[in-house]
Amino acid sequence: MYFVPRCRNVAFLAAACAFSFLSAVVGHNTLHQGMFASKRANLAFRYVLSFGGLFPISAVIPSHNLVHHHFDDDGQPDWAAPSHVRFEWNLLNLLHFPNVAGPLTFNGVQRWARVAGRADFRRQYTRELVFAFGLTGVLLYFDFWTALFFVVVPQLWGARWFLRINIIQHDGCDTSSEWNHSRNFVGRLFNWFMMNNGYHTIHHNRAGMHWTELADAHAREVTPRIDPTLDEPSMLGYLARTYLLRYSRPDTRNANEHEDAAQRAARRAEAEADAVT
Amino acid sequence: MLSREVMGVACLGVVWVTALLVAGAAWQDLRDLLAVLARARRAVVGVAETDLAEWSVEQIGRALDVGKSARAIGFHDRAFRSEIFGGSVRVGESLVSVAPSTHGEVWIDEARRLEAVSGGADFDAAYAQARKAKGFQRVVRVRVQAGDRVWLVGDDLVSTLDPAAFCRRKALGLALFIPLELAACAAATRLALTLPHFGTASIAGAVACLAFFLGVTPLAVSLREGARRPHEAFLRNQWRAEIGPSRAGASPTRREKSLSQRKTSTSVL
Repeated sequence: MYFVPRCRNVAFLAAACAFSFLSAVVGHNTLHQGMFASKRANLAFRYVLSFGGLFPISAVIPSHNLVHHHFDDDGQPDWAAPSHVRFEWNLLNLLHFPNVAGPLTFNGVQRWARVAGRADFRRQYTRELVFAFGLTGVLLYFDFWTALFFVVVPQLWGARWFLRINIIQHDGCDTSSEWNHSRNFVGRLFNWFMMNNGYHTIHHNRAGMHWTELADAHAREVTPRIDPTLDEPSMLGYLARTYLLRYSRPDTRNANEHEDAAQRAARRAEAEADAVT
Repeated sequence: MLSREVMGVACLGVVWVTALLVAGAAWQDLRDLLAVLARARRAVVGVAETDLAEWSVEQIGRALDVGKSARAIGFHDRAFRSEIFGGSVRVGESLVSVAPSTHGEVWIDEARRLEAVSGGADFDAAYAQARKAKGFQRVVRVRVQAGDRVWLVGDDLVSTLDPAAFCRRKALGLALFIPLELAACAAATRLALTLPHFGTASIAGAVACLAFFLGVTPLAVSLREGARRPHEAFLRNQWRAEIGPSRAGASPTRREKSLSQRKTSTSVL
């Protein structure tokens, strides 16, 4: 779109927005498990991903891997907890969520990065920041309006929907539960495009598992245990039902109320044993 | 084909939706503060006859990279607790009794909170712990003691600062932010729509709109965090020690140095 004026149409713009979002999803996957055997190649790939979403993709390490996966910032709420927004009209919560979660995330990342021993992270983060904003700035300099409309808009779309996934997958769930902390989107076509990121419960419980294994693991470990209403067949259906066809925010379920610690420990042990075999 | 006009209008729409959402969220915080203010106006002011309440924060300190000339521990606030012990407060000639509660709020003025975190431990020992994975853990406590001037709001708020003044000050900040934020958005929009459309002035307006879009949300979040009520307001303090022949030893940061001794108790676990 930047170089070929004929491509500046709705279809290409939608594709660019989708690819920006997918670059953040790829970033998420690769920061759980590197794509390349070479560490240098993985670090270099992060520049590409950072440009895709106009934010340093390494921010995912503290914000997602270390905080979000525990639903907790060492005693304080997850930086991307759905509770940070509280409009009565639920659609506004979906729209506003990145406006709160974004700054909280980057503030949290800054605090995390200041700790001693994280100089390598700070260097990489800064380089990604400079690369993403630098390249975008160069594009803006040479053709401002085209870059703004067909590069920056998709970048911001991708980054903001990447944040919104947090409220979509966790709002109304019981984050203290072993199995009912996340909402899954189990459509096969959806997961083909999304690299199995619809299977969110198993991803939280087994963060190191490669994304190609998540579907089988979900069927094996999650489906028998989860509240079945948290397995949504379609994300579009869920979004329409939750944000367009109703005004108020659904209540937070307490699907965990009948769980007890002994049962949870037994299930965890059973799941661990299944995974080993 | 997506024309510049269509994309420009769409982008301005997104900027304005964001501006209105930010304003709406600030209004929610303002409304909450005004509700507390309405209660705080009926506060009873007196002098504690007994140790009345305690506020505490559980902190974990981690060594920070602050250059070669200093060492520092950065503290993360893990959990805030307020406990009202119960007791009595002298108001003029009469005594007002306060019921015990573990669900109330204890508001401590910032000077006392900062004083409470400013010492009580050996920096070197704390720093050694802070460099480890578990960090340096401590609980900072400030007690509302006999003889302290206190404000009582209902039976669930004990404060060492004027709660109405606090709410007014924070509410004023939020109340100013809402129109100023919308005015900034309007100004950027006006500049972006300067004739000829998509000319140099228009580009400056688009840059202003983009800067507004990227900058207003961190500002709003910072304002929101700054308006947290004192019983749960973040300290996130640092403890710093300069390294050098003439400046060995630990010194507290921020305003801690200038604070005079007051009746507080600090314990470090």
